[in-house]
Amino acid sequence: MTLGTRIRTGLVLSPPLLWTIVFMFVPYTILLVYSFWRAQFPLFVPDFQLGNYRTLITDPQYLNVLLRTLKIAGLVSISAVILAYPYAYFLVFKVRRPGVRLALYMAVVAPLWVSYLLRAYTWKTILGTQGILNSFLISTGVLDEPSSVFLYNHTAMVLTLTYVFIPFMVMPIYAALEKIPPSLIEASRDLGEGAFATFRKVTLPLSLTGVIAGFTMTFCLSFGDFIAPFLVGGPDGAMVANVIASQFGAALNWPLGSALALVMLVLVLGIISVSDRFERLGHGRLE
Amino acid sequence: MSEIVRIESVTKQWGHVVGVDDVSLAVKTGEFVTLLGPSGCGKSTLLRMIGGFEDPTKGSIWLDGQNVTHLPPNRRDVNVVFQDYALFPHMSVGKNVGYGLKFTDEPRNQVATKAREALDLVGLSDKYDAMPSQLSGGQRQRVALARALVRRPKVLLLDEPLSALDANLREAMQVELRHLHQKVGLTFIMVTHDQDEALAMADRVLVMRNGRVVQDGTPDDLYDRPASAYVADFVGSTNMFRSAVVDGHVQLHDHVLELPERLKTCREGQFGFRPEKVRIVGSGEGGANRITGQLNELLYHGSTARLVIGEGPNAIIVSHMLQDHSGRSALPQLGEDVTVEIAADTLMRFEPEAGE
Ligand SMILES: Nc1ncnc2c1ncn2[C@@H]1O[C@H](COP(=O)(O)OP(=O)(O)OP(=O)(O)O)[C@@H](O)[C@H]1O
Ligand SMILES: [Mg+2]
Repeated sequence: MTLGTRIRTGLVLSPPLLWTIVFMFVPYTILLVYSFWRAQFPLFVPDFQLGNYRTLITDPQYLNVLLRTLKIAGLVSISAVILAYPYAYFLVFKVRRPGVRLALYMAVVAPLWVSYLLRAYTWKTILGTQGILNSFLISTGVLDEPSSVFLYNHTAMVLTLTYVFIPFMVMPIYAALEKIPPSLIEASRDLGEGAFATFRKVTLPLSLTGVIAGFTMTFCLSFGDFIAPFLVGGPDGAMVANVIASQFGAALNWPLGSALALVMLVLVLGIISVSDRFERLGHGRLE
Repeated sequence: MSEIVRIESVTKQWGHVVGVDDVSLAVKTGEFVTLLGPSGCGKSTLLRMIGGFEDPTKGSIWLDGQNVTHLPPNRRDVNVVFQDYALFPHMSVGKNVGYGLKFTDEPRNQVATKAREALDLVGLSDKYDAMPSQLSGGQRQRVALARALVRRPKVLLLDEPLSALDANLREAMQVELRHLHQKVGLTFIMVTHDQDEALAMADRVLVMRNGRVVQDGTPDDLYDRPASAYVADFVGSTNMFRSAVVDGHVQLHDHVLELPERLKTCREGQFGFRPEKVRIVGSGEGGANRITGQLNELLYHGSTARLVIGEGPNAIIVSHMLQDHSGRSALPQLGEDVTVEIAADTLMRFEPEAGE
């Protein structure tokens, strides 16, 4: 490279590089440094020790939150895939008219343009004691008075998060299914397989990359969520992000919050790299 | 020979769009039939109805005596070689070829053996473990063939199987397909829009137009005795002209041509002759059915040359074989007068077609 091209390459690359350094690298380094500090009333002092990480492992409170978060994120991803796959399949293979297909696709994706908070809040109004569900059950005579069992529990959280993040499941699955040439499905039928065997042996394996991508996104997004627990999660609904927020807020224990944030980061990166490997296995098949 | 496929007045419509319009046809066991026609004439639709991918709007389809009109593809004893090959990208070549054998209760090792045999048949036994993405276009084509043949279907359907290959490979595959047909003794029905391919490969050609079969015959029927001006023009090329018939003669521009005996008594109509059947003769020679005109264009193709004699709408096209060693130097020069003979028995007459 001549000096000129070097300078030019540098100029082109510098804004994103600068962005990454200022907004990713620096904050994470600060977090890392904080995570070794020590909490000392009323604030915290610089130190280099692993006490915060030890607390995370030994105090069951944190492990519980972590497991609960994993469980919720897992349930959200599973329910999202159960709902999204048949929907995307229906759109790609059963809806003939392109206009109708686009409309039904947008019906799922368009809510992404609506504020996240608003969408999560919708479920509070549906499930609450004054909500639509209760008034429906009362008007049909199933209930005598409003029940509070629908809101403030894990089911409400899974429901809300599934609703909020399902577009991220539908989009990659739809894209993967749409990429399958119709002639492959016809060839399978032609070679003697029925509709279900064709799905199992051709359609499903060829759309798995979409499922993995959708699963990863939905899982990671719900894993880091802290609004749904806050709105509909109730007293024992706190997830990791809520605990981190409280460590930086009310609890005023930044070192512990930093350690927890880093644990979370490592977990998410781990999940992404595993799914990336799976996806790569399936790639190069449909080119 | 017995009849293997029978199609009875089959029509396929989508709303107002007519894909196939009242086609009837019978194919004998072991025949190699091609469906030939321009884009959009309904060739693929007809083939897909035989395969079970389209439901006929009207009519019925019979396969070896059984009515299969509304049976799904997996319950018909036919197999398709798809235009884009449709190999399963997530399975090895061997798994692709063995795909259709699993459910016909073959023992497991038999599946592999049969798949290998089928690959052997198309000369790809060493690619058993390769993935389709690692193969060339011609090799994929062969795998698709092996996969369809391994099930020994009653009828093999091929939808423009060679159109994705380049010219050289295509010609080699034509020969190979022909050999394969003789070797396996199955019935082949092939779609093509390439007339050379149709003539070279088939025992029988069905020319289609706007969803209908306009001629059904052997390749030489089609070429020598085209049923209509449309077929004459689509299969090979033809010099066309209209003329009245006077005393057994027709008029081609300002020349008078004698008709053969079989056409002497016919009425006015459309006439034509093949550029290949025209003979260049010395200008001095006398004789019947001679035309002299100026050579206005000459396209040299090596073994043949195409000459345009006369001008504008009066021009006739002559295709001249370059035999011996004379080559290009024996050809007349541009601007020279050239005399050609259009022998009476090479003249063809066409009935006016409906709607023209
Ligand atoms: N699914 C469909 N819906 C509506 N019209 C269709 C459909 N499939 C085919 N057609 C129409 O039917 C006619 C025949 O189509 P077909 O595919 O059989 O033509 P083809 O002879 O195979 O042409 P090509 O050489 O271009 O493949 C065309 O006019 C086409 O537009
Ligand atoms: Mg076609």
